Amino acid sequence: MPLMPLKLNVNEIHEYEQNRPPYRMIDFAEEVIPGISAKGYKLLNEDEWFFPVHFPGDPNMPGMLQIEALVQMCALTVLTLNGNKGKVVYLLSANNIKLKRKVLPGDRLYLDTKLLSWKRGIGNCTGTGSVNGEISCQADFQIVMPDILKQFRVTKKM
Amino acid sequence: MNNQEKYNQAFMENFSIEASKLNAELEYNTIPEWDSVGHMSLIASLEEAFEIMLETDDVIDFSSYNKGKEILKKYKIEM
Repeated sequence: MPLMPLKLNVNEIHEYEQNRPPYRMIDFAEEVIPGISAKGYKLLNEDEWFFPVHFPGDPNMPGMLQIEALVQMCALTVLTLNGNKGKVVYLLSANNIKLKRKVLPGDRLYLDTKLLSWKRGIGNCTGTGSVNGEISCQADFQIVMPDILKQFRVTKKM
Repeated sequence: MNNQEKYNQAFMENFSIEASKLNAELEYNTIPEWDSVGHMSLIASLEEAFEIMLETDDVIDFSSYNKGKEILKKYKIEM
């Protein structure tokens, strides 16, 4: 039976995911369909830690942090599956990264992600970030949940 | 592509190794690329190439290039 869609505020996100400020790159998940998709957003406050250093006089969100935001959002698709709440998810690889628009202080970075496959602790994902309907970033990426991977640890029989 | 070629291709693509390295010496964790994550990628590639679904015990027992061939025989994949 498919799991019900979830809406998660920041406190609820913390129950499922272990990223914490200042590295948490998602603020609200509008719709998480476990095992399928997750969408939501990050609000770029004026005082984000990276704005003063990226770059002085030209503050904008680093492209790799936009990709991290996609990864964190998509991770919710597997963390909301039964038995996975609160587990650690790592980024394994990323391909087809495109960064198309600056994300500036005050912007809302909207994140739309899909879990294309999930097998034995490895997920293939795709995601798009946008601001005011304009695409800012896109990527295909793989995530891994080490806890599940451990269940398939190779043994050498003598 | 015959079964042997498909089998070899899965190793070469996942581990970025040459055909000359595909022999009885090639075992899990003997090259950096064949770690726990690489293992899952290899298994996924083989399942796709041969249109099979390996049982958990076979995923765990798949500890070498040669052992893998033995396991695939259970799924009627002969090389």
